[in-house]
Amino acid sequence: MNKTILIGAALLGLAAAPAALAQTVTGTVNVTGSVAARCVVITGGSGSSFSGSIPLGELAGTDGTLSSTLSGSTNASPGGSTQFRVNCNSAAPKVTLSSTRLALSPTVTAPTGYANVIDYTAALDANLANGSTQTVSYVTAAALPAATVQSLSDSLANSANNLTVKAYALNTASGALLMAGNYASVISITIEPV
Amino acid sequence: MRHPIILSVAAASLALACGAGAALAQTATGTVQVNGTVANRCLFVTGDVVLDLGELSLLAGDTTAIGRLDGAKLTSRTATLNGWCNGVSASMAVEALPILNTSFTDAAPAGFDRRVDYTATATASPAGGAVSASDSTLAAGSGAGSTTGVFSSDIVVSFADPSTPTSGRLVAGAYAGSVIVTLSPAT
Repeated sequence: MNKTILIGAALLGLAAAPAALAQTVTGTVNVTGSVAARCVVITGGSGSSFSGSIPLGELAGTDGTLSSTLSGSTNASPGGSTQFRVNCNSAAPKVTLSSTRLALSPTVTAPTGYANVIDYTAALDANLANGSTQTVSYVTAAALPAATVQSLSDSLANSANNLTVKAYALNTASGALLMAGNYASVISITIEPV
Repeated sequence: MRHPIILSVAAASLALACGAGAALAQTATGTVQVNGTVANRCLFVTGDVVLDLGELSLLAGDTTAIGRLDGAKLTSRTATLNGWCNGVSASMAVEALPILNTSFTDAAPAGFDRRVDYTATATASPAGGAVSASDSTLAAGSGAGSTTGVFSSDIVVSFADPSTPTSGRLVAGAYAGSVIVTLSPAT
């Protein structure tokens, strides 16, 4: 008897098992993505490069020395400027700025009392997302200093002409007469999406 | 069932990671050309000088010479201008005008003169060495120009070859002449 009862219990258990198998299965799908840090040129170039020019015109005053308008120019009233739009998606883009001297080209040796090269301040005014403007500047000299490297304090403004490149505070040796000819300089700018 | 799902998520993540790799950080670089010009130009810092020669005739000595031109009054004097040119092809030219009696304008009587001729030479001092240009009052117009190039210096005007038309005695009166120095910026 005892043996029979035990078998019956086993059968009962077998019959009840399918109903107890109901079980919830849960799954999780993680959807991820990323946005790479980048700076893209919108106006003044394309892709990752932009270019422009600042024509200063006649550099000499009527007395043959550097124009007082140019020597007295400031960031607020520069000798010349040009604008670009670069969109960066990082919080504090890093700007690197350098420039060559404004030099007579082709060069001709300057006699005593004359100048064939002009130093000046190259500046990049960056309009920031917080509404402020941050200036990065570089001053040329006979021994060119290292490039100015500066992180912006905020993201670049998402607006037209958010970068203004300026040339001002031109200078030569005091009283020097400028050699006749064409003068040229190159301002180099790098904006990294840091 | 759970494991296959996890495996496919992992595959999806891998695919996304590969996509992100194509969009690596991008730096923008810019170049701005700054240009300017300086025109060819010449300018006198000191451009007008009056040279008073005083008495032009000999007052003593050989009686046959008294009253005639005292050439040393001219040749011993110089006049100094100052100027500059900023172009490598700049030039200088001189035009000398005779010294004439301005208070006696009629023709001089025989044995007398009312005109003094001479040669004027202007000398500038560029770094490469002195450059001169000359002109004689005996020939009309300017003398030949000389290339000065870039310079900033005194321009010394000197006098030579003084003479009168007949070597006669000078008619009394006030005399005046001029030397015109022209600095030309080349184009």
